[in-house]
Amino acid sequence: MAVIEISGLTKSYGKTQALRGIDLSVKQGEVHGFIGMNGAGKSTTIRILLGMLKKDGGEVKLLGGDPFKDCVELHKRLAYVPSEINPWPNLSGGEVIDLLSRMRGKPDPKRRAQLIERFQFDPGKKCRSYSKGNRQKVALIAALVSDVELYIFDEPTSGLDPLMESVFQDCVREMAAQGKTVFLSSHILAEVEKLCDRVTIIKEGQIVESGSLRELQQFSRLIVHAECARPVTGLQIPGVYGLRCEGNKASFSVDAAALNVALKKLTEYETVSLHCAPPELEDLFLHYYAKDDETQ
Amino acid sequence: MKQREYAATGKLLKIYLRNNKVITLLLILLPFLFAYAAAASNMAVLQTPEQLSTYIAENQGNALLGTIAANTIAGVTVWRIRLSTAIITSILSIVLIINNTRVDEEQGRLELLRAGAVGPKAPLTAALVKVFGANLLGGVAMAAGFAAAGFPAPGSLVAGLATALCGCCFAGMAAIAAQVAPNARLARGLSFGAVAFFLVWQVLANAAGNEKLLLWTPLGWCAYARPYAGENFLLFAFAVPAIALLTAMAYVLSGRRDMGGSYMRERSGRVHGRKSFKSPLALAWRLQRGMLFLWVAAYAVMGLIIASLMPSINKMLEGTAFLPGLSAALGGAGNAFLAILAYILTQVLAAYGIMAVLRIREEESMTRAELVLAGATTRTRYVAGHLLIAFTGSAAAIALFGYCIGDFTSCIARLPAVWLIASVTAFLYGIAPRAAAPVSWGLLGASLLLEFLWEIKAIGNHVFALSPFSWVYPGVVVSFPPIFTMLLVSAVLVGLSLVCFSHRDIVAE
Repeated sequence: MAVIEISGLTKSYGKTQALRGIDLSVKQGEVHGFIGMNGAGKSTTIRILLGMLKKDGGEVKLLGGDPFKDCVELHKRLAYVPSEINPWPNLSGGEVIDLLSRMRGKPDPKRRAQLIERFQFDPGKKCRSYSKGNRQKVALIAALVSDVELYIFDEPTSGLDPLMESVFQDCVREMAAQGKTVFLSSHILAEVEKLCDRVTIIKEGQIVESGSLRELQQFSRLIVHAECARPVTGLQIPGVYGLRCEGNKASFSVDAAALNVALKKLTEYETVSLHCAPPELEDLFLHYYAKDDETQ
Repeated sequence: MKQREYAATGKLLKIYLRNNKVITLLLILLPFLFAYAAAASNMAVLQTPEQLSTYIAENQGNALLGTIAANTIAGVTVWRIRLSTAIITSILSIVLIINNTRVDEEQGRLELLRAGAVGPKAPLTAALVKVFGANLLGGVAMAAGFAAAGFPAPGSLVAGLATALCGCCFAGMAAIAAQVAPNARLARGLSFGAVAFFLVWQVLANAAGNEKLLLWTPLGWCAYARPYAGENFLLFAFAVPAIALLTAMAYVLSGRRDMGGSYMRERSGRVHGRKSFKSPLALAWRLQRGMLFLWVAAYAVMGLIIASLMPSINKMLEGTAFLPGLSAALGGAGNAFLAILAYILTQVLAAYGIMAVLRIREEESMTRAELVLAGATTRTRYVAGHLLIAFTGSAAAIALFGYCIGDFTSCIARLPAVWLIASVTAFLYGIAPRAAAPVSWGLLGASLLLEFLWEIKAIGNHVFALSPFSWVYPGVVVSFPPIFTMLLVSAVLVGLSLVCFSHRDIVAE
């Protein structure tokens, strides 16, 4: 069953088109990464899912309901961490955590204490005196303290230090183990790579790719670094891209279909060492974002 | 190395002069305006020596304003405005100092500046130079205002300088508070607390009739210096070193602490929210209660003061031709006075209504509305909480005022005009949040302008009728149709606001 089902979703702010018909599906129990550059439409999509924004066109189903009309019922079943959080300066962190989690349902005090401990958070201070990372923790703890079906995170770790980042990652893994669904928007690609079962890449309001990391890798080029006995000269063959030759070394990316031809060619120059690997998420991401520039 | 401590003070001063320009200008110009306007009106009203001596006899020994030292129009004028000018310049000085010290520090601007080639003492120095300078210019302007009215120069100058030194003294205290307090809010609170403390001191000194005690409260300095009544230059020998001492203390405290540090612990909050803290209404109450208490208390206190002054006001107005038409209609000049006062306070209360409603807009633009609405709550409940407080708060303020002055009914009868204006703001917020603030304030201003134009007979009754205040104008017979209409329109506007807000995008910027 799909927890989030979006098809042909459009949204514009005045003349700027933020979303140009996106399709997105998040299945129950998966950790889904949603990646894209700033302004690509990540937050707009999430805010439509939360009923903060009205869609212009297309279909959006969230937990089987309409995110705008059924927001109260739906919000009892989900928790959200916004990318930017300015909690009320004269409230303490503890009060904000309690307020937000109570408005969602009955929070578990034991879990609250555990999370505060794990995130090394001091809930007794006024929010005005918290650093950016601590303000982020307020929102994270308020969301994680609730036992809900779906967690939506919009760049949740942007202000956290690496230690706290790993605490957050542990929390996500635990939730995944319990069968919860997590929708994680991020541009920390290493984090998405570590946590997510499936990834959707959004660019300029359109989905450019969606699938598991393995699937994405299959459809994309392999990265090859090779060293030969002689300078490599004749590699300008179809399917090889971004060729760079320095002395006896060559590196390039290659379509899976052209790999065999490329390797044969390399052996002609007496290959000394060879490193060939599927691209990391970062390579993929850069690949999709560079696509336009290549075709132009 | 010594002078490096003050490096870049001039550059910082240039930056600081560009901050809070309006407040700085007010600090310089208000003393002049007060001085000149009070002098002109006193000269117009007190034309004969008899009128002057009657006026002095009636007002001598006022506990708040103190003794009238010189039996001249100049003496009366400086007596009338010295305390209000001192309070206002002190408050403005405090705001300016805190803004360029603790606020800059809290928002990280100070750190940015200090990271450059800026001496550790430069920021505080630049802030103090700016505020001291503005106060001295204001003092000179005040002297010029008196001198322009033809008052003797030495007295005018002494009055102006004594007032300026009062502002400088509170600036020095604010500079200390900015070092001591952990945040700007508390620093401001401490400084305003000092003003209140010295105001009480000044009232006690006046009540005791002991002029020497006035030296120990900056607010009494202008009285202590006796302008136009044999100037007492001893004040300057005390005030200048006192200010220097406060400034030196601020420097020492500043030098001994870390960036962002303080000598007081930030008041810690609750580790857990109260059990009842779980709804949008509870949050709205928490956010709005400070402003609400302040307004309600101010209206109650004003009501009590006016009620206690009524006997003497009645006596004063007896036999005078104070608004004869209105007085006849309301059965006495005292009633007419009360009606006008209550009417003006109704108009002022409309500002509270607008501000309380606009608080929701602030929440939305600070992305806090989103946090709440991501919980299981409807948009209607969210907005309704704030509106409920705005409406009951304004009702409580004017009701308490009416109760204190013993004219509950007519005060409450004016409430629909306030509610109507608050409802317009709510409607605008629902349909076009960005326009809500400017249009609401614009409409309030326009209705006050209409009234002014109507009073000078530039427009007729039917145009003034556009202003909700025209229906509750003093002397207008309170009838149900207009009150009922205003309530109905308010209800419709609030309803529309809720519907529109429930269907629009939440804008966060």
